Amino acid sequence: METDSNPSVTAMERLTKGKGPPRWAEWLLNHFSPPGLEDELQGDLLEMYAYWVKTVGLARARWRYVLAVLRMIRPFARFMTSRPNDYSQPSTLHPDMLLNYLKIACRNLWKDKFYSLINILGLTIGVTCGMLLLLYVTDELSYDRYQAKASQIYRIVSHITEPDKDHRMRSTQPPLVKTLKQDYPFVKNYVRFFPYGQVMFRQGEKRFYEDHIYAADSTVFDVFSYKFVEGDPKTALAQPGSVVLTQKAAQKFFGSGSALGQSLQTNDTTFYKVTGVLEDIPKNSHFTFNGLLSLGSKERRASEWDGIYIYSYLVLPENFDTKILESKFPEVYDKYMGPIFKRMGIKISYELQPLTSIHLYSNLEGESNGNIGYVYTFSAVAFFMLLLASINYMNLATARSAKRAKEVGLRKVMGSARSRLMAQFLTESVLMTVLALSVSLFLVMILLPFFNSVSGKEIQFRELLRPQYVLIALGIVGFTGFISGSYPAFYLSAFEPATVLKGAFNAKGGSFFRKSLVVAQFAISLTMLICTWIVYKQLNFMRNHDLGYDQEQVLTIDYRGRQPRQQFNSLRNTLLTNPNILDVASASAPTSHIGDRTLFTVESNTGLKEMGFRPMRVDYDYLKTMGMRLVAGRDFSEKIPADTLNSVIVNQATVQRMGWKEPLGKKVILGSLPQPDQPAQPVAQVIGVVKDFHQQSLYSLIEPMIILYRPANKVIHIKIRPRDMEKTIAFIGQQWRETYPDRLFEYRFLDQDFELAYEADEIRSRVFTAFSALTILIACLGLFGLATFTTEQRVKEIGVRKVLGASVSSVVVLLSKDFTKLVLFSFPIAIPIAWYSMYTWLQHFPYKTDIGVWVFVAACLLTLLICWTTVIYQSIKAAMTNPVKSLRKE
Amino acid sequence: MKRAFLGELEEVVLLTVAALQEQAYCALITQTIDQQMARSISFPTVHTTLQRLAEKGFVSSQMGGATAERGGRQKRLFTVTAAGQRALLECRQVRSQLWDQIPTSVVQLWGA
Repeated sequence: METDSNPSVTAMERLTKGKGPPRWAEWLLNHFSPPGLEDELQGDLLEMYAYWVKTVGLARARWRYVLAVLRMIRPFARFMTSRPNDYSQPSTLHPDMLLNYLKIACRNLWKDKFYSLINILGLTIGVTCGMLLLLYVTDELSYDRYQAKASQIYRIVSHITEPDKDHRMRSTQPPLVKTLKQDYPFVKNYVRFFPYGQVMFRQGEKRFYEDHIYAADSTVFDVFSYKFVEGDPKTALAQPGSVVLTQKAAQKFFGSGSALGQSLQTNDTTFYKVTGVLEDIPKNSHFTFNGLLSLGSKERRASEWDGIYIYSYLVLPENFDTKILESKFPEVYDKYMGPIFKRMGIKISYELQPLTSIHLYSNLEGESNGNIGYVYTFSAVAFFMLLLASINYMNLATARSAKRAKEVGLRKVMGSARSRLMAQFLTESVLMTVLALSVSLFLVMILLPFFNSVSGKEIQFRELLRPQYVLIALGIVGFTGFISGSYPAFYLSAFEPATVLKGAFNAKGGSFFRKSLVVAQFAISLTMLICTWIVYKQLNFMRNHDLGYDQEQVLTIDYRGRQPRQQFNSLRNTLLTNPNILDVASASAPTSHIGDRTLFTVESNTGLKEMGFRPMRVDYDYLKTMGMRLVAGRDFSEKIPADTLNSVIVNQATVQRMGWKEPLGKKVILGSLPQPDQPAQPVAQVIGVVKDFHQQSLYSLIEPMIILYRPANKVIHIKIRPRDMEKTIAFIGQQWRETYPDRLFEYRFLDQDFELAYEADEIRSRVFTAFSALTILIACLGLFGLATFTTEQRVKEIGVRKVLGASVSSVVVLLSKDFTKLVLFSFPIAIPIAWYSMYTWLQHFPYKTDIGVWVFVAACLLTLLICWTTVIYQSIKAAMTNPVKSLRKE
Repeated sequence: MKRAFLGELEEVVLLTVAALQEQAYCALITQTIDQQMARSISFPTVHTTLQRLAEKGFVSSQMGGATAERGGRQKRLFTVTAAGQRALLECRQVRSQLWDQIPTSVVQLWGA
């Protein structure tokens, strides 16, 4: 069996230089010869070709060659009853071979338990996180898709241009959708929600405040497919005085009994009959409510065009081009609203939002939605975690290639084809991933409640068993198994048996690739570390930022309506007798919910001008109670009667906006410029300038505002001493109930409002922190495995060094040096990426923390430190080994 | 052993294998038939026939000498087995019996 390789080269060269047989026919013959006949057929046909060229000419020779090939190759070749020789090979995917791969893979896993453990651990973390994040992302993407008409429902958004300001709001005027339906036949259906906010219901003697109550058209259940527990969707809201509750709300009012037909009242004369109970609105809805009232009295106001406060949805035909409707909006506007709003100097345009894109793409005033950007970020994080775990596998597999090299050589000599070796290595990585996946499934089951509480979701484990998630899980296995298995498969299966078996093999090959992978791993981890750090820093900054007033010791009670002045004053006086109560004041709104801009006429440097400012009405002592500071002028005073009508206080933002040099004494008219036919509005003067305080969370800028005096407002602020708080609050409650027997005593502290505003970001930062920590853990696991391996490789070298007098510390430094270098390399990659992405992220915030150099320095140092702790154990262990032990063999 | 039937094509190929002695491999056999018998049998046909002969046990084969013309690939060299030899002999015997039955004068008339 001697094969001389030289003639083959020259023959091939000769043939390809001259006119050889058709390439494609050669290729076919090469790949589809009947097993065992490849050599002889190719050789014979080459000879025949030469003969044909001589006897019948080139063209016919080529033709004959092709014909012959087509007759010889599988499946056209004659079926053979007996094996032509004993060297035939089964197909790479033959069932016997698959079993064999699996068997060998299991043996290999078991043989190197340590590395298998590291790999499986890393993969498990990666796959678990990947699955959790995918659950999160798919949940985000699933918003409102449960609606039967999801693809046909659109919400109308108003874009309002005022002389002073632009709004984009989700509210519209009540008659808008109704008019659209009347005027344009392609609008199939519509529904409007009139917000009632919080409503106090009475049921016999019981009183409950219920949030998120809306009045809705009776078409609501045609448009939205909410599931009924009791009642009939067709008639539920048809009658005036009907109410449909969610199960949760119904339970609150009526316990476990049937709620259908029961009655509720909102005041002495208004009664509602429960005509339906809905299943609770699914969490993945952009719009939720606890109860829907029939339109009733709202219907009357529903024909007015000047108020913009309801939510409108409409149903369009399947695959309808929304541009057609959007192009009609200007027409509708001119016909019905143009004249009304022109007088106010306002222009309104409308757009349509598809229902399914509201949650992720819409970010209008007063909405707290998801964000497609975060969906991308989380998907990327999931991808990176899997990638990192795959890199671990690749690194360890190739680093330990020396151990497998002999096996590969021997297999090749015994006739294994490369494809079979690759199949072997891929089986090993896929087996590893499958093991990791099964552990992960278990982990996900355990961690899901925890994950839900961190992320504020309500994802059930059984969701994972739905076909799409099973597909995703299989996808993860396929992806991870293939990515991590492919490089070792190509790399290891390419070994030349002659070189490897001679023992001239060294693991240096591919070490550049391996090092790049480690650098990539640490670059990813470091980027995430820095990002997490800055996100955390920003949140901390917002939470601890000085809002310009005292928010911790101020108790807030919402009276929900204007209170009788007499009673407020007496309550105030009684409360102030308690030494632990320092101040009591009232305001038109809590500081976090000051109303929208309204029109004032203000004295500017160029005469009187109409401009929008945020108004706020407060009592005496408000500024003192809230701990707000005046930078100029004075507070409203009981001693100066003119203050009740003719004085205002402005904030610094107003002064800045108006460019006032001397703000005190400037004129402010409460309303628009005096019209000849209207009674003149009172003219007030600025008596004080309050230091800027944040009216909303730090997501919004401080707006110019004008503070007016008005007694006994609906929100009461009480400043108390920190000691004996419970007692003080009990005292306040008792006094409250005595003064207002029919009002609930519900109090909160101002800082709670702000916590709520930051909650969404808080959740994201927690999720992000957890995952970036795990990313670093995965990277460290890989590093640990690699360190263990390289130290093992260098045991002899260390022995010789020690014999020649190297100290333990110098050996430790020597061993850690390589890894330190890799980690150092990752810094210049990670820092710009992290800086850029965080810089962009921070642009969303009007009040932002500075990124600060020290975050980068600290994060880099921390990464180095983590790397060292990972490597140092192995290094010290190796350095402490007695050289006798390591050098004894050989 | 049941007497194997030797088809005409098989006989020709088997004879050629015998004639070529040590050198019998598929390409050469095809060329020899082409040249000496002035009869063009396609290469795949010869190949199939050889396989059939091998199954019937008339020829055996082993791999051997690669040359430059064939791109360094090995040949499958065929030799006639004892059974093959018997079959050929039998074949010839049958034919000569028939020949013998034709009167010599007739044969001479044909111009032989």
